[in-house]
Amino acid sequence: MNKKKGEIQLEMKQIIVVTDGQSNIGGNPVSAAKEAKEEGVIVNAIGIIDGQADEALWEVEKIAQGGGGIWENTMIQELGQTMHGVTQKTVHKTIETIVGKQLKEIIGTDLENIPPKERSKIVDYMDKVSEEIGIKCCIVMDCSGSMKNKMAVARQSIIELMNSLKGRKGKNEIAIIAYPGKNGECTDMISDFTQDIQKIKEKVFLLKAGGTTPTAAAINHAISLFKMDVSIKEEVFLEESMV
Amino acid sequence: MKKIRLSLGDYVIGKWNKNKYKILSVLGEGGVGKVYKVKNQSTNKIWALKVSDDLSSITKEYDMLKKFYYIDAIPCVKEIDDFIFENDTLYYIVMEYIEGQNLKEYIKTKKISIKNAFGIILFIGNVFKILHDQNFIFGDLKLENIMIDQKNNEMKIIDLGGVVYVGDSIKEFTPNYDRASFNMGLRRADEKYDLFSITILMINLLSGTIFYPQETNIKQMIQKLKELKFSPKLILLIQRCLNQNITFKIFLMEIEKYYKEEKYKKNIFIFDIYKSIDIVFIGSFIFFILVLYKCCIK
Repeated sequence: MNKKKGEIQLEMKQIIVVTDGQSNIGGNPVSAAKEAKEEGVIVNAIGIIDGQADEALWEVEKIAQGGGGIWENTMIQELGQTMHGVTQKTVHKTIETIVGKQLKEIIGTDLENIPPKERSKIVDYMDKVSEEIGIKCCIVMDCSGSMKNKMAVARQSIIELMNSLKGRKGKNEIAIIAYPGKNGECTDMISDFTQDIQKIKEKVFLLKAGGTTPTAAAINHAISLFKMDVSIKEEVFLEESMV
Repeated sequence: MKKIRLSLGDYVIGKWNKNKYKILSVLGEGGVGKVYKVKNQSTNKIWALKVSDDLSSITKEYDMLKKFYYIDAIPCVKEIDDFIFENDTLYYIVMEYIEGQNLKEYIKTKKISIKNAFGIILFIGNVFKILHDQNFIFGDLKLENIMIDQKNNEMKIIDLGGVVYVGDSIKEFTPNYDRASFNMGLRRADEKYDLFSITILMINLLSGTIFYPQETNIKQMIQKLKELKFSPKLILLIQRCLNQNITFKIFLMEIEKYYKEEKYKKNIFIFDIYKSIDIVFIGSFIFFILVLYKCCIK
């Protein structure tokens, strides 16, 4: 690790749940999302709709609220752009909160209470931080039967998200979990956290549609991925310190 | 995501500058915010007001509009302010209102000649060049972001919300013009990101068609241009631009050449036919008067 002195080392952890229907098996996704939030992982949710916005998926909103994230309903063609937008906004929100706290400590006021014309410098600073912050993103992709015609675009959208993230200066990792899994399992880990765009490009073809919608189980699986990562690191460090 | 839904006739009153605007109509909606046509209640002047819940995006766009105020093609910005709407703080900028149509609406009603297509690209390209020289990338180019004001004979580039520093990541984009959506590169701001999007825009104008990345790849796009019988040289140039292996400067020089070629063609045409018809017509008219004059004297 080449840490420079004074450089802010941050990491944003997010789960993006993509679904085109209501969960129908395997627990309550909203409480799963709440659990993720407690672990420091933000849960964003994207609902895939077919036609008008008034058939919006209410569960998507509830999941995002539980997970402290944002939600959006979109047509499948715009999934790539929506995933980019949601990630962008989450990074912004995270940094606004952090910088907001710092501002309050230093000058005792919120960004909102600084006159608009004097905000530029702070906004520039936030921008710089958001370019450099590490992003760890687990995509939880609905692969139930109804997604059948949408899988090709969904695959492309994941690759595009990676293209977006790779455009940044900071470290980026993506993992993919599909739900339902094969052979009656609730979930299937398509790819563990990776920075390798080539690996993602190959792995997305493992995403295949068919089956039920166990959203809660999938979110829980994602949480365990984030946790596992921490525990592996701890183990490695422990071993290192023992030597 | 909360949608911004200001009703027509609502008032927006600035928290800091206290200016009062009446909402007249919706002008457009993007990923970041909404643009309304508004009237300043004290001066009765018409403005465009862009509102968003994203503080940093609005602040940055204001900074960019201020920074590049000297470019004619970029709308003037009047002020930046906040207001409270349904317990949330929203942020807005007030800009010059541009009459007319955006390029997307315009090409639906009128056919754009080859010469004018090159002219538009050259115009946009020259603005981009100024941005590039100062280490900025425009980013979110699309037909909708080019306004044609026929009354005043002007063209403006609106929406500077996507402008970013070279080397940063692209924040706002439209898939049809975005190289990453066509698997032609990352969403990182470099000159070539703008080169790709302006080339796509040129293809839109030349072919009269908009291509979507889910349906068409680059190869099929080139095929379409071949079917439309564009010169092999031009198609080769477009291909090189889409593959991004020429610089923006060379691209501009090439387009200028094509523009002048088209312009010259038209001039010869006018001189050859219309002007000669005029000369014959005026000549015979003078001859006729002379004959008449002679008759009168006799």
